[in-house]
Amino acid sequence: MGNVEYKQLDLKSIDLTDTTFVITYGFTLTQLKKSIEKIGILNPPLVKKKSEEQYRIVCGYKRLLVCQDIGIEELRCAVMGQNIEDKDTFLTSLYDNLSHRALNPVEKSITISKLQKYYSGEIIVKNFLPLLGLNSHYSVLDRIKPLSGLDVKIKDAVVDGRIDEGVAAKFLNFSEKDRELIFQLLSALRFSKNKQNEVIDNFYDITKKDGCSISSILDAKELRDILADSSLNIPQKGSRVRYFLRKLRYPKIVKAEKDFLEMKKNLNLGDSIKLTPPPSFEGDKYCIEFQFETLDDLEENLKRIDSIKQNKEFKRIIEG
Amino acid sequence: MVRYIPRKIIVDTKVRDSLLTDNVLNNLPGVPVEYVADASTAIDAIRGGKDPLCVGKKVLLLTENRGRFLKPCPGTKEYICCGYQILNFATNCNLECSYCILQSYLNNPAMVVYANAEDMFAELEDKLSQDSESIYRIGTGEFTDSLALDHLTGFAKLIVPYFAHKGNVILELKTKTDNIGNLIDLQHNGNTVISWSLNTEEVAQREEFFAPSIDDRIDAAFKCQKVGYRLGFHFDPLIYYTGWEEGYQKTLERLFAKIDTRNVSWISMGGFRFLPELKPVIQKRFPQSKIIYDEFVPGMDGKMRYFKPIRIEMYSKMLEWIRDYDPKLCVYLCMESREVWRKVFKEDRVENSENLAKILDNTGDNK
Ligand code: SF4
Repeated sequence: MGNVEYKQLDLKSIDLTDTTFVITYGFTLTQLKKSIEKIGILNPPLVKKKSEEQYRIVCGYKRLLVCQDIGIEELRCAVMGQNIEDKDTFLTSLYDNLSHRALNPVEKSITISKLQKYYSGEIIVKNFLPLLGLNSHYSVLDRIKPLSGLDVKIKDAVVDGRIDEGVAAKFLNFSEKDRELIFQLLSALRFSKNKQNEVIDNFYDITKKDGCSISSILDAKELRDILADSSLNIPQKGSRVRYFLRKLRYPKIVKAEKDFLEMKKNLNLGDSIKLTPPPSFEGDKYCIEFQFETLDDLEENLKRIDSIKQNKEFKRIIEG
Repeated sequence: MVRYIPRKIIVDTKVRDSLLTDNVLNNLPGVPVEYVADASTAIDAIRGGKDPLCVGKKVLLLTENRGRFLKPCPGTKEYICCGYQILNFATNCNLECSYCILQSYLNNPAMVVYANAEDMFAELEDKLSQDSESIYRIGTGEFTDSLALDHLTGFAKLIVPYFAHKGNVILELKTKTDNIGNLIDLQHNGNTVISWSLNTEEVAQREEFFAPSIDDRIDAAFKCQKVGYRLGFHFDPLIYYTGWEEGYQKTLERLFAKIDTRNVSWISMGGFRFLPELKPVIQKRFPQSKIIYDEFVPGMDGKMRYFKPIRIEMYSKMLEWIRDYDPKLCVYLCMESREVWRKVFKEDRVENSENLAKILDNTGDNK
């Protein structure tokens, strides 16, 4: 890199709160701290002058934070020439990061937001998304870009893999207060990514369908009882919460499922005969299945099956 | 209704001398025109750009259809299909219905008119003369609105008189517009059915942004009735919402106040259905729309459909209301299972797609 001068700088002269060129998010300093304490800083941070007395960080944000943490007062830095444009300074920071690690989703989002200061959406989609390991498409830009604006808790959960990146983007459909409420629930019940998606979609759809708020859903006695029930473990609570939301989202379908189970009970088919409706009751093919060992067994099962033709409720379901 | 005017016209040089190209360019003086030997670069740029669906609709592409113009309707074996043939003369539509399936179906986001009409007529001649015994029901409104661009293309002036002299064809022009100016003086010989997609006024206002009001559609149908066209009406998509019963009854009332049921070839009904990919598109493009938040289940064709009892309830009530006006009206269901047909019509009158096609062939032919 041309136009760089090495200088011994007072740490206080580097503004650690100025993250104009920084894209790093979601890190711990423990390992780096150990290494710096042991062997010092091998690679001097890169900074650029922002005023007479102050410098701005370009590369080496974490190294500088460790220095501050362990009380280093002075260190050798590479100082970028003032003639280098901000756009190129930012690219230096970006390429430096990309040269030694993959960015996490929040960092990609931060990068995109910062690139927008210098480039059109078209250039970002075409040139920079592939560089970040993303598909070169506007829809990807639209999905990733807002992540950096999420609440810290959610961003942290994305970085450490507790919340799926796709689910995180869906949080943005809610108000800050609602995001907090949903986040608490998802975190407490430790849903898998698929289930997180299902739950957040159902929350959103219910508010749209019924015009209600997230807090009114969460305030329902049934839900509070599930969450407060100490006899249930986390997966049990999770599946009950999902069922509760499903009932609100699909009341007719859930009722039909319940009615079918009730009717099936009344058919007295016993344990060995399985009666299955078409998926979502959409097709018209019902399935009866049983196993038998002896001819008497077979006879008995066939008799039971034959008897269900007389059941009024069953007839209504089949014939309409 | 505001008629469609593109911001830009792209003309594929292969169709620069076609009659349809001439019509469009003469009807749009002042709109910038770009001639290209290969439209794919321009299309790719729209597709890869910001908001391709919105930007695409502002560009009218005149190009050639290199495949077949006439194709069977892509029905699925799981549901009973009406056995329609689609005449693919254009794709995409500017009317911006929130529920429009084309938003997740078409690869090309531009408004496309296939201007090589000579090839289309050659194909039709060939196909129709091969089998003069069969009746063909041909429609142009599957991948576009049949009349939305007619003030620019004058396509109806070509196609209606052409089919007027064919004995074995019923042409259906399906629309939501009142763009019928070209139709009025045409010789149609009873071979063309003009049909309207109708809904409740609430749905029209909330979900069919640039389409005329229901009254305007009915007025347009009335004008076509006056010049002897047979008419069709499609209650598709039926939308389930609080107040749907009153809404659809009102539409029927307005319809039959003006339209003589004897001039109606058919009325179809189809519940709202959509490919799962359409949901995020509607959420993004039409955030105020609530139609996707009802109770849908995956259909046997992969599309999301209203839970079956909801569909049966809607169809049964609609049928009853329609029959109150005229019990002899030909009413059919679009893409429904034999079971739903049986439960709605209380008889097993339509067992499969061939059955339904025959009923519609006879009704449409009943001049
Ligand atoms: S009129 Fe038909 S083709 Fe046009 S936008 Fe509406 S649904 Fe789509």
